[in-house]
Amino acid sequence: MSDRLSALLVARFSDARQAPAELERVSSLQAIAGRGSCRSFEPDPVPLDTLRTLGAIALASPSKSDLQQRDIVIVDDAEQKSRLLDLVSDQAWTGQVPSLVVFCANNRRQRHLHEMQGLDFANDHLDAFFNASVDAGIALASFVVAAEAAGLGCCPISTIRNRAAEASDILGLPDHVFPVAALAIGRPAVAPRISPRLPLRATLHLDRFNETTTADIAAYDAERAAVQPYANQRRTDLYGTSDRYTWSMDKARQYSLPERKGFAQFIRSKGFRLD
Amino acid sequence: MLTLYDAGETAASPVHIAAVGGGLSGHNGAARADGDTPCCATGADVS
Repeated sequence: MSDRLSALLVARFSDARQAPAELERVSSLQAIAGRGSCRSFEPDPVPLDTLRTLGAIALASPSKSDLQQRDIVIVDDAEQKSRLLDLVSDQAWTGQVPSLVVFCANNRRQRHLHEMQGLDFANDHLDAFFNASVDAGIALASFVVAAEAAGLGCCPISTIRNRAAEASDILGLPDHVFPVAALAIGRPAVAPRISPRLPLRATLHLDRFNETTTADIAAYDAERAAVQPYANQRRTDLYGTSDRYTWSMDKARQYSLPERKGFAQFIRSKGFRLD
Repeated sequence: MLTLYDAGETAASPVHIAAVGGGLSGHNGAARADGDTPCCATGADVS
């Protein structure tokens, strides 16, 4: 199909433009544009050699200033995996995850370099936490792209940070190393679907930033309700049931209540200064 | 029987999840008994 890439982008973004002709038939771009997270897997675990190779590919991704402040833990031991998945067991699908890897921010090595070289570490502030976190996120994204190119399905699990201290203990993470996200991975049992995103006029800017308008959000709410309606509403015990439940309503309900209030304290306990 | 939507699922392809006791169980994700809606039922690509 000559316009395959554009069709995938239109499914994702209501205002997607026609892609340039030379990009339409690039299969790797089609795969990325049409991806979706997978939460339903065949039971067999991913072979360790495959996970090692995907991890190497992920760690080939860009790193801020070549500092390489991210590490990946492949969770091969069944008991280790079970202990980690227990931390996120309020999501039923995680009980059937074939393989698990955890992406960690690591500012510890940088501090080691300073000890080796006899130089002070003069950047012990928020940036140390931020750079390592972003590096871990870049590696996570690259791992997902690589895994999906290999025919595997993935779903990042950010909620492991809800119990970050316990996850850190299970993985044996020392000071200045902390979990950013876990990643469920396996052979998909159900083909992932495209989840629509906000219109590009709200999120893809040219030269200068444009504020997202209420009209843009309302249009997205309506589009998403038409193609991907919510079957469950969040916290109906507090907010009741709405006849017009939307993405913006769901996200506002989600963050109307505290989440991970103790995360900064956990990060500080790992030795980071966040000032 | 409740109908939930996995990440990216549409009305044309719902995931059916049977209610069990006070909570819910299912292969593609389930709502928590406290009424919260987990990411897997709301089209989120990250849980």
